[in-house]
Amino acid sequence: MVDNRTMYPSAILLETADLLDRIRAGDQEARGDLLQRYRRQLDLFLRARLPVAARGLSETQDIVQDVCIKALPYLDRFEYRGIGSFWAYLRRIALNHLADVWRRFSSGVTGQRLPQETWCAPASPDATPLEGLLDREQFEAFEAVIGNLPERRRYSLLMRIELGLEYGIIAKECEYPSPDAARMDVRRTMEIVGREMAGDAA
Amino acid sequence: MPRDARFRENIARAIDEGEPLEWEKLSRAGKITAREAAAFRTLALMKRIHAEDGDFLDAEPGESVSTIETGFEIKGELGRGAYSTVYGAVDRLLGREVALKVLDRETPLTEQDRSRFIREARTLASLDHPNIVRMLSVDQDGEDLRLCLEKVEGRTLAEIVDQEGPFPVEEAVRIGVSLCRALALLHSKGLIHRDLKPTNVMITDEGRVVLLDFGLAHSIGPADLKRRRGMTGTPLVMAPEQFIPGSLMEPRVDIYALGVLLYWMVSGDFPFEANDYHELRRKVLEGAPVPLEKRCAGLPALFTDAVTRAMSVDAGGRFFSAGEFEQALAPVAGMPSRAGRARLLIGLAALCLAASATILVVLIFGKQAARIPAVSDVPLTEVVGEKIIFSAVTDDLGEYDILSMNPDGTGLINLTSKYPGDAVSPRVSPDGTKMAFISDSSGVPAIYIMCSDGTSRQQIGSNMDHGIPFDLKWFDDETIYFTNNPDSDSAEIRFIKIREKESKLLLSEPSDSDACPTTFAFSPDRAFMVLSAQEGTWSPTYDVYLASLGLDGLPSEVKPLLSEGDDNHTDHHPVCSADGSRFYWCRNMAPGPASRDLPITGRSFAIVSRSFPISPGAVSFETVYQFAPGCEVRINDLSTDGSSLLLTKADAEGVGFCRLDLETRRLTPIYSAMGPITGGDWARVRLEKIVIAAKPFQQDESDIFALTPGNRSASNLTADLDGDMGSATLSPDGRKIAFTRFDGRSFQIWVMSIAGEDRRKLTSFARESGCRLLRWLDAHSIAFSFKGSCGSEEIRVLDLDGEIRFWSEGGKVPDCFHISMAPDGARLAAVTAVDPSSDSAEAFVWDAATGQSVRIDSMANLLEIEDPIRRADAFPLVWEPWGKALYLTRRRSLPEGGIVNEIVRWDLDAESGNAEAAKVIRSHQGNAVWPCVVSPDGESLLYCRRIHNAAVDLVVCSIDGGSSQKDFTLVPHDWFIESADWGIVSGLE
Repeated sequence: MVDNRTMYPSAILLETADLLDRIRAGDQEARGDLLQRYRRQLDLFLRARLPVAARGLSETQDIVQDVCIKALPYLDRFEYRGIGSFWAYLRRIALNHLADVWRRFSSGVTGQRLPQETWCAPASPDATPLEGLLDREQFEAFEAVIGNLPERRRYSLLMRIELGLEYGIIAKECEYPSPDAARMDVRRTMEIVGREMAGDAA
Repeated sequence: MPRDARFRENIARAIDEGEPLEWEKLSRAGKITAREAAAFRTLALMKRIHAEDGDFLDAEPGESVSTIETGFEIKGELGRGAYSTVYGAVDRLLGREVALKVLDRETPLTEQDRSRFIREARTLASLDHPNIVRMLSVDQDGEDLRLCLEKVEGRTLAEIVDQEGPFPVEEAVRIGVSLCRALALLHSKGLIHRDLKPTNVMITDEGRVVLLDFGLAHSIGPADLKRRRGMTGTPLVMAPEQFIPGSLMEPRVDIYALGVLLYWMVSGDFPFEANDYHELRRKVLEGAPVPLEKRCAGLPALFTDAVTRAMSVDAGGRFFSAGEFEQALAPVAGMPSRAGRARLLIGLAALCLAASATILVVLIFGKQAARIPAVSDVPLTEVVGEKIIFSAVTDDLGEYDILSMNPDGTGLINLTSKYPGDAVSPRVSPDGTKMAFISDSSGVPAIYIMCSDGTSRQQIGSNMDHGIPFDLKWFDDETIYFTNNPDSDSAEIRFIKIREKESKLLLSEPSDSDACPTTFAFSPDRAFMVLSAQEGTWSPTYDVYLASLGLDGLPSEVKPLLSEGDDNHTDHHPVCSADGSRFYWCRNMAPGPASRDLPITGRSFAIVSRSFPISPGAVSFETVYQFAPGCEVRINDLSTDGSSLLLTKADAEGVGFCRLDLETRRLTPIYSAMGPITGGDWARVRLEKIVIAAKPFQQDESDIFALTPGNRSASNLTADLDGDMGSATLSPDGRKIAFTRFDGRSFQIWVMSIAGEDRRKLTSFARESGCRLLRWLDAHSIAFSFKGSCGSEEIRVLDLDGEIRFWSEGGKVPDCFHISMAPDGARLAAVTAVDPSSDSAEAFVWDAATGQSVRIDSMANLLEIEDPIRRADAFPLVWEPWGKALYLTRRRSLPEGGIVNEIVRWDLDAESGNAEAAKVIRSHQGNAVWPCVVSPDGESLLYCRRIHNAAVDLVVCSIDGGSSQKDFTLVPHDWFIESADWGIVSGLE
């Protein structure tokens, strides 16, 4: 059995368009196959955003499964505009589902234990992995800022940061003239996002 | 490419390539701001999360390292000095905003420097003065030295002059007097500021003058640096001796600097014109400033003389102390100096009691006052109910405080014990939730308002504009009328809206006479005003006038009602009966021509009344009660049931309150004062309370907090209860809070008093169900929602005895995301998504009785406000208190690009229930805003506002859609707000 985590994601994500075509043609198995290809990134996406208290209430895998179930009925109607657009679609469902998780356990999970205390901790090479975790407010700021980005920049940034795709693929998917052009634009987008998250945008 | 742009480009490259960066070091080095460091670091970590094995996400919390700023969250840089940087920060433990001054590591300090620094900081920390920025703590962590200071919001003198030009001399004097008081305290502790300059004085929005930055860095600067620089301070405001190395520094360098500061405040220029430092030094040492009169003609001689003396080259020629400087300055603006302040308040008291009683007041002044508990020492439920509010001297300093007591004279509470200065003439607003009074705590008498529990105290209006107020009444819950002395020879009636800065003149001389209005009373329907006026401010002869008031509250006609002539005079404070058919006043009958100097024993007082309307020529009145000679009386108020008058009675035995029953004509003593008293308002006092379920940044669990609108101080009501609290919901009388608790095993519904007492669990649920309280349906039952077995939302009603029943027939409600129950308890407002991935959603109102739903709004991005990380679902749909309108958030794209988030109000048609045109209450470009709860009077909205650095503020705003400049941030934005409710705590009626 192949461990997805050892594979570079681009290989399997490139099949997204084909799988969607098969889904539209009525291939039921393709639905599961497609979502399976994004499962690892969905898992990481959700685990990073679920507070520990909520993780205890419902295993992350179950939540990933719930997100996939929610997405399934709409796959044949999805208007595909590249890997970035499909990932944006999945992560939107995941964010909405997270809201539902919060709502269901609203009274009980406010004692979230994401280590906000690390707000200004140095990224020491000796630091434990936990010290590198994020402040939830930064997640929110990130979502708010990328929501206002032009579509191409949003997709290319997500493809680089959350899917880890190579610039060659990003260039092709987002119609950049070259991988270097994609690299320059993604890094420029990172600068913009960082500044706007900090509230320093002009 | 600019250097910092290149730097950020390198950061983006490092993030992209997974290179480790030392974010804090970058921030501290000033390469990027702390906020930018946090944002870029987030991007780096997000990339790492998705690029690496995610196992580290499961590490247990609590292992995080302590950081350089342990206990503080840095929000950004406020300023930078020669040896230190000042950051805006939040004290995570206390949840308050602070300014954190961090000495630069590069500053070479000896151990002796450090010890001295800490010693001086400790001395400053012991100072508590309204005109000195508060030092909260100082600590040392290895090589790092930090000062934690009060964060003062406002503008510096430099900013004000830059934006608005020089100050009027009166305002400059007011600021100067405040600074004199601050310096006097500093000097008394052996401290010298040494760097008093325009950027070191802040004026808050409330007009508070605050002295910042104590030049600590200068005082501890390394010896070699001192020698090199040869001076400390800012040359333009430095005293001559500061230019001479080795000179002895003494407090009069601050006096000199204050003189320069005053010179600059009124002229906009510094006293010395020089092209370089050496020329400046020479001119300062020569003592050759440009004469102030030359720069600014027409200044009072008293002012220019004081400034000139303060700026004497020879320190011996300056004022000896800051106190002496204050005494020289204060008369310029007609202000009392510290020494003269007591006389002013005696004067105020004199206006509240008649002349001879004032003598009595003075006689008993200084008598040891009884110990009265502060409001913070009693349960909140003792603050509300039927009360008599008055002011009295409560301490050995002879300062007046506002007191509250029950109508039988029991339950005495001090509402203003924690504030300096005098507070007199309290009046409770018609809705009973706030009080207006006059205080001199800012240096001159001004009108203040506060909540009924003494919180949210704020000055209204500017205090130098129109003289000295001395009596006030609420026209409605937003408007205060007050009598005022614009100068020593006249009086007038003005009014001010509590949200506005400037008062307006209502009338000065009634009926074209030269009479001075002194006190007044409204008829209950506010159609008439009865006012008492003197012929000159010190005349013993009073006339009574009747003013007809229009719907706008302005007098349309003023006519004489009664003239007592020379023999007798009516006293202050006429009072109208509850039905508006009579008015009462106090008649002072002298055996001969009335005189202020007549001994008290020579006059007798009577309470008299006459009916409305008064027919032409009618002069008759009825004597209600005749007092014996030697007893002086004043009417304060009518009892809330209209059956009695509250009187202040002063005689040889003392001063106190008594009650005169208007039917039986029986006089009953209520309270004997130990010292002088003023005012006396008999009112139903209520208390506005906001309760929130929230998790402060530093806590692991959420708790229930109570606070008052306009006050950032929140009290934790469940600190001793384990688990996470949520859904704080106020009962209709505001005396109980229902809330949920999750202890890790089950969800529970609890109830407790508004003070956090008498807690008890009503019921509990399996953890999978979750539950959220929606609303109290009546005093005994609470509607709540939970996730049913099919995943849909279900609603039940829980009685206080633990019984649970269906809310609607069959317990069926629509399947939806957000639910908010209408105040009538019969309708739901809800949001449902179009599909799970969509940002589009519909908001609708569902009627339980008919099962019909009416669509309110349909829009893209309605679900955007769900804020999956931060919030649950309590906020997006909010009802106004009468169930006639809904508030929700919508997003719309701007034609020029970008998104604007708006809180809109939908008014519901009374018959069809359909929503009518949306009105935008607040909008925020880019980031989200969403409503939380509307105030009980429907005038204000509590809403969440995502601010630039991703945090969320909980803000109070006026729903009239006015400027957001007046919005008030209630709790620090690093609190997780789970729910909020806003209600009124009423008495047991």
